[in-house]
Amino acid sequence: MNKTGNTAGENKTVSGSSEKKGFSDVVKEVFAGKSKNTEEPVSVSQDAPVEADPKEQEKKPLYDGQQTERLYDIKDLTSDLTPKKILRIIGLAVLVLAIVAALYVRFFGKKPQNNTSLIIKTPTPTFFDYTNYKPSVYADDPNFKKIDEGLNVLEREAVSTPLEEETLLPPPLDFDVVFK
Amino acid sequence: MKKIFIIISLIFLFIGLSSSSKAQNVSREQFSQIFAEYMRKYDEYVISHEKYVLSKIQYESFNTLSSKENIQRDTKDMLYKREEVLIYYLRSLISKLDDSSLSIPQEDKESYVNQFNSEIDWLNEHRSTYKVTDSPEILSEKSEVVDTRFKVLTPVIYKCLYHISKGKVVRYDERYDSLYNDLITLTERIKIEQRDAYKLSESKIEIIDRWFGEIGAKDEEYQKFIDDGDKNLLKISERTAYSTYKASIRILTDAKNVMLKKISYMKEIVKEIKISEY
Repeated sequence: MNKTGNTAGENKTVSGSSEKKGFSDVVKEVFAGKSKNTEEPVSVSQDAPVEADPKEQEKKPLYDGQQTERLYDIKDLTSDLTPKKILRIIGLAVLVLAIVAALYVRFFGKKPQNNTSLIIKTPTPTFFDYTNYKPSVYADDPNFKKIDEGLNVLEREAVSTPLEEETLLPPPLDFDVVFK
Repeated sequence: MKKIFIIISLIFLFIGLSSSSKAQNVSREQFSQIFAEYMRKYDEYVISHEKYVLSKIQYESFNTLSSKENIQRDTKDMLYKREEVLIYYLRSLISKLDDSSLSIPQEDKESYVNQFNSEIDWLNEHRSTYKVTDSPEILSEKSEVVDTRFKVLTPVIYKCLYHISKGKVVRYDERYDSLYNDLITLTERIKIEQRDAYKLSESKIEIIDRWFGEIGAKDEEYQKFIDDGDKNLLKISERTAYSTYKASIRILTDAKNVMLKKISYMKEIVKEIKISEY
């Protein structure tokens, strides 16, 4: 299929021909300020060049042939979906969402107001045997460990067990059984 | 096959452990059962006492035959339940004296058990004397007999309670003494140690000896409190039974605090030996 320009001398093949234009040339031609007509390709025989009217020549766009190579079309994303394309779309969506979310939080986000009463628990200290001294050879002696453990158990029991048996005090009974 | 063997072993181990722990707590379990029964009897007594109080008001207000019939029945019932409570209370005390975690001299224990058992026997006999036909006056007389006996028994009960509390402190002190003797033996062995790495310096041995001396002083203080508690208990009488008992318990608490101090001193000695000098 032949693709022609305005004049015979300016006839350029955009695609499908052996001669190729540079990217900047194509952009210049497409965005030359005039609407392009891709629906009606002009077919002019190269053998019989036609003398163009200068007025008509002025009206014609720089390039009115069928555009076969598109710079970018959103339909390209959805047509011929391959796993690689899908991944790219998802990645792009996530990136956009992340940016939008970050911007929203930065400029419109409000600090959440905590209406519920805050319960502050007293921190429970964790006890552990911290030895800030150099242990002697007896530090790991099982005999000393046994004594230490025995003392700890005894101390705990003695502190926690009440001395007085209050439940075994004499029961309150009525001994005043007298009749008038 | 292996799994079956492991499961069977675990079952036997579980049964063995549970039976050995049961054996240790027989006295406590027995006490818990008797004490629960005592509490149940006390609840029954409270209900019967409420009925008795209502009948008494009606009898004293109207003095009718039916109100007299009611008061005889309800008083008899209340007195019977009251004596049951006393019986189970004394049984609880006897059971508590058997607690293995208490260190009570055998003669004291036997003395209390004999007194309480004879009182239980007397109460068992006495409660069978109550009859529906007993007039309110006769019931009142029979109740007074129990009241008098219980008043005599009250100082004995408080003495027993003191000895139960003292038994706890003495048992703690016995356990402490056992650990103290172990520490003394170990310290003596360290003192004669000849190997350089295991030897303690003279200054450290001096410090440890001095600290043992401090424990000795606390021993005397502890014994003094125990003796004071016993002495104070001698003042017990029917009228002052509770207050004397409470005063003796306070002295016992002081003795327990001294024992706790001895434990903390001993822990310090152990720590001192565990610290390297180099």
